[in-house]
Amino acid sequence: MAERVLVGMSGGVDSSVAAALLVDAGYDVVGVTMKLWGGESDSGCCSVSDVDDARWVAQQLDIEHHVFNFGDEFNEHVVAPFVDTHRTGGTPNPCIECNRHIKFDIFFERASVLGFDKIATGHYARVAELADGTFRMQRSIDPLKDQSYVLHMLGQDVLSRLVLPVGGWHKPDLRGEAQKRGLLTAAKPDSQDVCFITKEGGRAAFLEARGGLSPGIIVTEEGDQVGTVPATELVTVGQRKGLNVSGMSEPHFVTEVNLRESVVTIGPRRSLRVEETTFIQPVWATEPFTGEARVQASAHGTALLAEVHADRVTWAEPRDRIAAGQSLVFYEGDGNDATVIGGAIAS
Amino acid sequence: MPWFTERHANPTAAHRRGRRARQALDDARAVIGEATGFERGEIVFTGGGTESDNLAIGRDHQPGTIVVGATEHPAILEPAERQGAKIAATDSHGVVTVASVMEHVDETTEVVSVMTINNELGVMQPVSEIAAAVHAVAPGALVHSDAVQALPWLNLADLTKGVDMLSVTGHKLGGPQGVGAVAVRDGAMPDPLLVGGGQERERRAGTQNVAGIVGFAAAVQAAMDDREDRLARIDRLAERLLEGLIGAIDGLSPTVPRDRRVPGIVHVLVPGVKSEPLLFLLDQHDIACSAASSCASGAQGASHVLSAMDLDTTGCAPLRLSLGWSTTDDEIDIALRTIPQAVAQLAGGA
Repeated sequence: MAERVLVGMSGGVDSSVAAALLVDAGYDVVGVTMKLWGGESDSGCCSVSDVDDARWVAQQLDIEHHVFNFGDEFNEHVVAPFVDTHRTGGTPNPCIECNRHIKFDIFFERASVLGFDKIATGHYARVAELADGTFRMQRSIDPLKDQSYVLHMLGQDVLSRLVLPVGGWHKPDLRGEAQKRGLLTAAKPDSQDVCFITKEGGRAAFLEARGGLSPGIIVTEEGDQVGTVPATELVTVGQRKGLNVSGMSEPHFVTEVNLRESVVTIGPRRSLRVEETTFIQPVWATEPFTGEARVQASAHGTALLAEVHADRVTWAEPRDRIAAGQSLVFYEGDGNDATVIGGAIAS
Repeated sequence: MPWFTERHANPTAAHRRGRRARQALDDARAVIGEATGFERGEIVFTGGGTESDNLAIGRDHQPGTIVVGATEHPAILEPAERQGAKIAATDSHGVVTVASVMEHVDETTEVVSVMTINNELGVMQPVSEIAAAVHAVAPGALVHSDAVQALPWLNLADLTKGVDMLSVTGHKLGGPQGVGAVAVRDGAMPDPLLVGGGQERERRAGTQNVAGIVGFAAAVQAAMDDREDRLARIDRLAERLLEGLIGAIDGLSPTVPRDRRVPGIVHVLVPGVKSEPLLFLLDQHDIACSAASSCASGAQGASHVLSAMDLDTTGCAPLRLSLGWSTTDDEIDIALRTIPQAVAQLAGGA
């Protein structure tokens, strides 16, 4: 009997083609759209029209389509921590928390209990099986679309039962494939932004409505006040633009955000340089790792050489400070074949 | 089917074919009138229960002049709440009592709406008593009842005495979807929602759906003809289903007392599982049921009815099983085999 796979279909082109490829591969495929965010949105994500798109593609592929409502779980594990992290001066990555808690935990558990052998999504990453029989998240062959960074937290239980059909595709080819197959989502634009933040209101409106924003002052490292910010929560370490500070002899960057006192400290580039970054909540593909790795600190950043210790990484070359709340992802190897050893959250 | 083919005609046309179509509408009107206890001239055909409900609530009411039950269908709640309606609470059995309605009624009240049978729970509501109490305080107020769920089971003419407006539709008793009617006492008609053409005595403009209306009336006639036999048969099947589920699933309980509900709905709380995966598994076995109401996306939403009852459903899956004229003993057997199996598969899982 064919293996049963539950594929997450967002209504976008990537997961549409993913579902089509699974059908081609002979799986018994059921599509599910996860209803995550129930509030205001202009990104299109989780909207009724997105669910319609997913359902129509499922009809084209002649597979069943269902909707799972994980709205409460999304609020608890993604939205609330997003607000909390901002309130403590950090810079959260909600897509990572959604993958960690919703798509590859609650959805995965749901698929298991419903009797599915595997789950699948339209992410650009690959699952590699190593010689010892363990699995690793591996970069997509399309470096521009690689999403292994946001999937770094997956352990053996999920990796061993995960299919990522589009990880071996370049995006332009995938769109071509969607067109060739006549999928209704073939020309749909990519979603870019955080699904629950509106373009119009941005993070400011979202956080304003959930406990308000704190005006703050900008000081230099010497303690001189040189400006103000309307919302300390929205300032990120490393930020240079939008501070409206003039009269400095050289460009200044945010080096610290103190939410308790609503103080933003700025300094010259050299003050931003660090030799190490501490982290919390490490997760591993197999077992805890220490040693040399390439470490990536943002979704599309460059993986830099570093030494991974139990609670910090020491960078081979000094680099700019990383905002608390951002994820560090540890890779073995370089280029498209690099695999994820683990990851953690910068503290 | 002839109304789609050789008898296809516009019922407002003066020619022979048109007149024949109009007669079909009038015959249907008589059937719906008999089923609801209204005169045939008081029957306004609509595009379904939602339109009937929206029409009955009406528009441009002042805040506080509409009173509706907390467990009403969204087709009542939404238009009512948009106009600042007062909401009458329900008791723990899902009954909107006369007293809870009358807390909000005074001489300024314009519209009161309480459904005849709650669509999620199958609980009967004291609509006739509510109508009498409202009219005693506010003689000019219109009392409406959504009887969509009640039509297959109850003699509406008896049960809704004194009610000014009644919404009904055919698809709960095997008729086609997208057809309904609102029965409106002479002189009580709210402003129409659709205008331009004058059909339905200017109460609902637009060419009538003749084939749908004929089908609606045929389903209602059939339901009236064998109501007692069917009631007895479905009552027995519903009891078998409920007893069987209670026996097979630890801690399962009926949501409302049996003597307060119609036989067509068995509503239970299943402990230790979640609704969504349970419905998924039952669907895999072709058992079509629901937990609450479905939202537009197809996702399961929380039940506003259970919330209104203040019922603690933490850790329980509300499950609504509907029985109809076509339900058989074999289907009950399948349900009694499948549901406990699905619950066992899910127990303790996601």
